[in-house]
Amino acid sequence: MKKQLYERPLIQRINTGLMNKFGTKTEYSPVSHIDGFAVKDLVKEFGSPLFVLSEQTIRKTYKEAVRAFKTRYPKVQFAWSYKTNYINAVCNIFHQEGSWAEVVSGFEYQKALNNGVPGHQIIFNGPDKSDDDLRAAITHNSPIHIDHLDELYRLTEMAEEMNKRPNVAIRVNMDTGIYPMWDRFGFNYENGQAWDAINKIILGDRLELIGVHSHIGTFMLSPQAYATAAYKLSDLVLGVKKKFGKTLQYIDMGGGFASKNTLKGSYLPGADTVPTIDQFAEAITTALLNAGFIEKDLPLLILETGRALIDEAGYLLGSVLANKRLSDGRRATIMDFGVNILFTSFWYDHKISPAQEFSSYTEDTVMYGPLCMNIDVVRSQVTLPPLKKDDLVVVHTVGAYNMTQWMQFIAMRPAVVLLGMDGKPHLIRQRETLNNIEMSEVMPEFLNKHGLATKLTKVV
Amino acid sequence: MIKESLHIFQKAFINSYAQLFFADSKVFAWLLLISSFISPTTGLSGLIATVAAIVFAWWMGLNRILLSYGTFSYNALMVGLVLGGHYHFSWGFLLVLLVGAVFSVLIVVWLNTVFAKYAVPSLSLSFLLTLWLITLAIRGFSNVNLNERDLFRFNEWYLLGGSRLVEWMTALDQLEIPQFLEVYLKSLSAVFFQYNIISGAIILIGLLIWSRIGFLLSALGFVIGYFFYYGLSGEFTQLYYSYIGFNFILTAIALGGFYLIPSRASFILVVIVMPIIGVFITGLNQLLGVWQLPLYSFPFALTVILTILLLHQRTYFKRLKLVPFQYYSPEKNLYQYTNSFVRFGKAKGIALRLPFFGEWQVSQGYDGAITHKKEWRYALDFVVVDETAHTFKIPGEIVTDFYCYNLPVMSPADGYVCEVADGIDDNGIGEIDIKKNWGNTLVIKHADGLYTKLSHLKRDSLTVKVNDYVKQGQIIATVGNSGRSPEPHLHFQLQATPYIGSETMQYPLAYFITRKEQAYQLHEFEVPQEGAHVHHPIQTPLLVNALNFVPGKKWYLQVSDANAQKSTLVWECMVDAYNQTYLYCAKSKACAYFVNNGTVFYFTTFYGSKKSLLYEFYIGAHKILLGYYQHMAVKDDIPLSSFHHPVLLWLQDMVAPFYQFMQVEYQSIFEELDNEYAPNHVVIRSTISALVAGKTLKQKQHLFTFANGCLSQWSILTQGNTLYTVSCNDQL
Repeated sequence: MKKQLYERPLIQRINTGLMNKFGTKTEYSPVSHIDGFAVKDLVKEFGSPLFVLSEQTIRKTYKEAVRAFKTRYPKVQFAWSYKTNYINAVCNIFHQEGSWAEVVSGFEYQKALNNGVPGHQIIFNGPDKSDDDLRAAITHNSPIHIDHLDELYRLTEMAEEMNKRPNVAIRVNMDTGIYPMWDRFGFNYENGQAWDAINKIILGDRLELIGVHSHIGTFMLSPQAYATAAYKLSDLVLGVKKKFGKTLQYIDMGGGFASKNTLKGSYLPGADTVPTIDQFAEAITTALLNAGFIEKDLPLLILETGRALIDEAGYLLGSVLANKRLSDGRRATIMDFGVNILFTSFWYDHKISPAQEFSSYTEDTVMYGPLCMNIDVVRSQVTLPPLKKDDLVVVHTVGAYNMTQWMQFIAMRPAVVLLGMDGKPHLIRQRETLNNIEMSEVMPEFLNKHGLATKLTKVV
Repeated sequence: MIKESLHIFQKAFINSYAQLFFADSKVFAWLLLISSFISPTTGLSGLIATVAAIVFAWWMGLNRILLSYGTFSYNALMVGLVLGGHYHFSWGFLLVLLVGAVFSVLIVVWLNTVFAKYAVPSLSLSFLLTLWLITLAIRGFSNVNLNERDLFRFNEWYLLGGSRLVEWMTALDQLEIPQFLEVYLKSLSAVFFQYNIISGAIILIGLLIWSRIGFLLSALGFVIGYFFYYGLSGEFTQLYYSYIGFNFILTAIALGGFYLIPSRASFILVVIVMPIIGVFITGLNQLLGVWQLPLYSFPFALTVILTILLLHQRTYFKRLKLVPFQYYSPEKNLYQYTNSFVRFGKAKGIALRLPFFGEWQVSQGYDGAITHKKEWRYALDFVVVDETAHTFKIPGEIVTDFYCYNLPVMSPADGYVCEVADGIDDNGIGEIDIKKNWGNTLVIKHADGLYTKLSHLKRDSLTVKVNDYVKQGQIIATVGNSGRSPEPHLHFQLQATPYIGSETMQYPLAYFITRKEQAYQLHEFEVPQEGAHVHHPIQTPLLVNALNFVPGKKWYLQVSDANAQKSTLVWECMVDAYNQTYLYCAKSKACAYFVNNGTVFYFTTFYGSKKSLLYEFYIGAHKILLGYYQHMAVKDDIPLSSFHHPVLLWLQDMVAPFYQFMQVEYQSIFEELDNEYAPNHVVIRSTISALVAGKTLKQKQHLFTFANGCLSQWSILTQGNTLYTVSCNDQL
């Protein structure tokens, strides 16, 4: 006979009568398996906490996104946003699927090269590009997205020095009717900065203008904003054709599509409110197709989608360290993962599921991380069944940004495992050790010794 | 002007001779001319009549092109040959000859005008009518006398070449050759109204040079005639005595390889028709004998005309294909036909494209099991599927879960919107509306009798109205789930009438690509099969632009051959009166006709020297897809004549109507590309393989390098050696 489940007793008010806005009861169900892999076994093998990525979900999400655009527009190319998750195994899944690379720093650029991405398929974005970075990008024929005039001037000088004609695009910011309006990246559309940059590039005749780019925001909840951006960028491309007779190769709509996460303060869960990839695709492609291009000149549509492609494929597995009752009577659960590795918990109410069976009784809980810091709150309020020490939980939709924005603070960064479609878990990043932390440290000679140990021995 | 007229005159003259064998070979014509002079007066009289007919036709202002083919003069030639053989040369005779020539032109024009209605040739009927009239008339002219030259040929030869010629000719005539061959040669010579072995032999050589199939047919015709007479115990001596053996030979060539594409069926037809000639000969001889008129080619003309008339009345066309464009050679007729049948046999006047972006799957094809039945059997249903073959994402309970729902639908070709149905709501998943079974629908008219219908569209998504003109690729609606549609899909059909609910018709799509796993294949003028993953071919801008030859554009080629000899060529893109574009090489005067339809660049025909570099280009760039697909070979068929191996080709010619053991295969494939969407450097390799019985005998490769917006480098390789390297430039 199966052992009966024990849960500590709870006192709960009974909600009777009609349905109310809190619902009847929790719809949580235990997540004991991910893609057929037992959470318990994964933690046993790779330790807790543990980041898990589903290869199947990554590929499926990517294909769905590509399909959404390619069934609406003839020329579409995705470029994997490295900063969203630049573990090489992850990048290579996207490259296998046909995605280019989009990088925003020298080291990311190098990473993409090392992953075997041809230079012309690495888009170099970002406000910070050193001379060395630019030199590498020019040498490898990568499209360089110019962020500001100083970069434009420097690039022009380097083109002369290297006697090369770099491929460039300009980053354009604009009013797409959303708040806050992002105007810190690139040149403004409305006040003519964008045209100023275009004129400087084309008339300067040192750089090859091949496209325009914009990145209108992040976690965008309105597809209409993209339609506006696509329309304004098309206007630039058509204007360039009219003024200079030059056909630009592409329009890069940047990233920013929202994932199914729930933003803090949202009334409804993200899964219900976030536009689907089809809605974004429809808004963008309709704007481009109606912008007035002749069929032959339709620009390549590049998308630097990051979050929406990987967030749902990522899970964080963790264990309960302790339960306690706060002074105001609220229950608190302390987990072995905190804001150090789950950076996104600052702005999302992540969905958290227990990984083992439980009864239908739930309790509101504050979920803390393990750090010795007051801000280490994973969920300020979450409804969960009673959890015991060493019980496992699964945090959903954590594939984006966590594995790049995590920090080594107080605790080590955990391992990352890829749940392969071959039915095996693959370790794609090892758990950090003390060695990882100290390997970059340098000890000056005079600090090599101190007397603490000797004093102790004397006392003993 | 005079030079041009002289040129037409020359052509007309020489073609008059070749026409008697349906040929346009100059060598053959000269040999025929020579053979006619074996009996010099006969030859001379034929020549005079021909010239007279040409001059008359020219002076009267008849069509110069038909004139140059010999159309108006070959009957006169025959009249001349016959008269020259029968009558003494005198002023009176010359007058009769000239009258005969002119008269034959009148009759030709009359007969051609009358017969054009039935699309049958008048053949030698004009000759026969002219000759019969003159034969009857001449009996009243006392100044024109029959000669007995044929009985005293030795006298004539003696006058021309002394006793030596007489000895030669006697020796030749008395050569011990089998009777069968002798009769065959004499029958051949009878086409030119002689009956001696020498001219027969000369004609035979010419016939072989002109056409192997023609020779084969002549032999076949003769053999059947020969045995027909044996079989019926007919009077075999007739066969050459009255010159009528050639009726079998000419009929066999005309039906077996000239008016029909040579094939097994055309040979069978020859076998069937031959005995009819035999009956004609014997029967008509009795009839015409009343007036003592000769039969000559009458049985041939009647048989061929009647047979062609019958062929035009067919309603079932599986076998016995009439020659669509006359190349005046059974070989060319056959090879061109086979080649163009393979290449363009399925091509249709209106090129339709898939009416959507991206890759879709044919969920129900022609004769589908669900609804494509009876009058509506030739329809296609399309859906979008994911990698797990599902058409929806979980849970798939509402229309928006379905991948294809609300995707844009475009016009498959230019045309007018002629019917619109809108305002029908989408069904829930699994429900069907059998009252308004087509749902929201658009019918577009592309041409008279050619309409496309797109059905089950989303309500209020239609962006066009009746009488709007839509361009190919223009977005006109989005996919919905209205009508008899349990889940969102696009219904696409062709029909001959403009109504919603019209009967469907078969009609292919011009170009589409299918994908199986990661392997792509180009389809031309086909109907996609059920289950196929299809998409419209992509375009690579560099190729589209580089091969977009605008009339007037010039190309400068720096050629360096295997011995590093350098030369320069200039090619120009021209356009002819029929708006067909071609490349013209001023140096070799060669023309290569091409088509660039935005999807594929291909050559259609070539005129000029096969030694010219333009010919190499015509072969090497025979078909190039204008969009990049890795590892996808574009295949094509190349005419056998591109294969330079005379012995094998002759052998192939002999058996060509029955079996083609030689093939020339073409394929082009992308070798290098620096950027998928906006490449600046593309290399395409085309391979031409000559196969004999399935084994590669010879192979030639062409490497085309496209860079800086044009074809910049081109090299031709064979067995690892570079034959030519050409750098091309569109500016000097």
